[in-house]
Amino acid sequence: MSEARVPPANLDYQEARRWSRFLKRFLRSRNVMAGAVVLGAVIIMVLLAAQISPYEPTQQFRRHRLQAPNAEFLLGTDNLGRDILTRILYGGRVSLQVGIVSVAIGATLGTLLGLIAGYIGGWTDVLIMRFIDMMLAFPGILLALVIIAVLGRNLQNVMIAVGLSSIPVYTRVVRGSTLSVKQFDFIVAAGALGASSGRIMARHILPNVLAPIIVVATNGVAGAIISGAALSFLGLGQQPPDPEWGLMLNEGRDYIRAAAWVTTYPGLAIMITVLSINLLGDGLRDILDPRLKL
Amino acid sequence: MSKYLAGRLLQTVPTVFLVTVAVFLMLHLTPGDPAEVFLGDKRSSPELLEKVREDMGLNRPLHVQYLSYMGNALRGDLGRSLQTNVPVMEQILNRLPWTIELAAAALMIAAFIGISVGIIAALNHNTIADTLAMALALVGISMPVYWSSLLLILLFAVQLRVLPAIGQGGIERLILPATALALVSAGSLARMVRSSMLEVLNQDFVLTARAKGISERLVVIRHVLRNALIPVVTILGLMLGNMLSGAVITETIFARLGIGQKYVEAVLQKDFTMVQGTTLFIALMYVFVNIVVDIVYAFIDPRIRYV
Repeated sequence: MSEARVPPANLDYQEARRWSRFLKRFLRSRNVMAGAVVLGAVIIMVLLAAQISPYEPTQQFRRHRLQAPNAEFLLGTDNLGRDILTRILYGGRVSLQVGIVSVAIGATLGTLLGLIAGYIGGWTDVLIMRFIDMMLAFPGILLALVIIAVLGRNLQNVMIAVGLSSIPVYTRVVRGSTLSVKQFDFIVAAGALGASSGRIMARHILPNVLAPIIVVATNGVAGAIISGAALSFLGLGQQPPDPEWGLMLNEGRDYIRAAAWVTTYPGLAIMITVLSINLLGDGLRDILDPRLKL
Repeated sequence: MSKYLAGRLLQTVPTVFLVTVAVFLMLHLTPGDPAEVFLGDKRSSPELLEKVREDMGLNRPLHVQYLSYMGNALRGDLGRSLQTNVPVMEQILNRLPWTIELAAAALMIAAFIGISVGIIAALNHNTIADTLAMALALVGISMPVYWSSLLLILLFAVQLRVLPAIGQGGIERLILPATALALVSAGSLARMVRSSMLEVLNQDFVLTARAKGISERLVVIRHVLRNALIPVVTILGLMLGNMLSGAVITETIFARLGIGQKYVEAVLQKDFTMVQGTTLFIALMYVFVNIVVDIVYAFIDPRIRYV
């Protein structure tokens, strides 16, 4: 009965309480915090690359080729005498950018298709889902490779390719959640009050399917970083001499016997970044999982 | 059963149709005239271009071109490579065994590691063993295949010198690439097996089995595992897809002349017929594997009867 006396204007208050509950669980989870701290450090270092890196990313020290890590070159140099630490810092910008932009592309388009398929239903749903099935027939990185083959190889196309190939995950998740949300009375009420389909999807359904989207998108950034670096590794993304983690791994491959650090450190950079994002994503899933709370 | 089977097959028809259309359109979606793409860097006079267009049948309406492409494909003719002029199908079939060998070995390694780690974690729920197993699984998931490949080469070929770094043929050249390819899948498999087992362990029939007084070993083997591993079968099928696309990278690193390595080469060389043919082949193979997995799934789990 006490709830009944809470004035309706208190929506903000409830919202704030939900946030504080979220924050509390967020701060209490050791994994999430570890992931957030490491990822935060990576982002700060990469953003400050120009300020904190000792050299220029394409600067060649011809007398210092393939030097093991030392005081002058903290992580050593590559076959052209370029500082590995500097290249990792600058290369990280590219990798993180690929991760974020591709997820933005995939999540936006995928969510849109999922909302439409789930809410409109009928033939629209069938058509969209058959299209998604078709995309799923190209497993893993294959779809991205096909798109690169069509569009041509460069970094921008890598982001488009990785983004487009992640559409199916979002569409499936959002469609599923939409199907269950649209049964609720407030959606039916909004429709009865004359709200348009677009408005209902944007204002009423989307906020209620955001949690799974956030979870999938977080882990999606990790996956996009891996795929983006894979494409550059294969020579289809970032082109030399500019640095990128996957490209650096590939460039160091030939020297793995004599100078393992050329490959080890960029690989470590990818793994640490991906690991921290995955920790964060797993934690967010545990907190936001709609089956547990919401 | 037959009804379920028919439904499942029917569901595949539009997918296969759309896949073939998409692959067919690939050549037409690339910027520029397909005939120019075909001629590549060679100086092309208008006459030559026109002749190529005529030869390729590009002057015909699109749907006629599609039908003739599919008609040829059904007879096993995927055209000729732009680079080598060798029939695309011949190159695919030459290289297929190496990729299948790699994917099969990787799948077995992933299943072995993933299932055992998952079982150990579930049976020791909330102990150090569980935490450790899940930490390992997370590291596995976060390791890109190119990174684990290079690490394995560094450790076993460069440092310990016990296994060859590159090449194909013989089990000793298969171990490293297959393990590298398996690690990511092993990680996610371990997580799935664990959560699936935990779910089953909480069911009433497990309680009943325990109450009857049979040994914990038997409870786990007869009642828990049999039920917990059913969903894992589906996952293994999906993983084969990851293996096929992961082979693109492992084969490149380990210099194995499989389909994946050829694929990357073709994309780099703009060998469009090769890319087109290989894409179609892999996609259809993957669709086929998924059907088989679904059918197997329905067989081993009699509760599944949806259409």
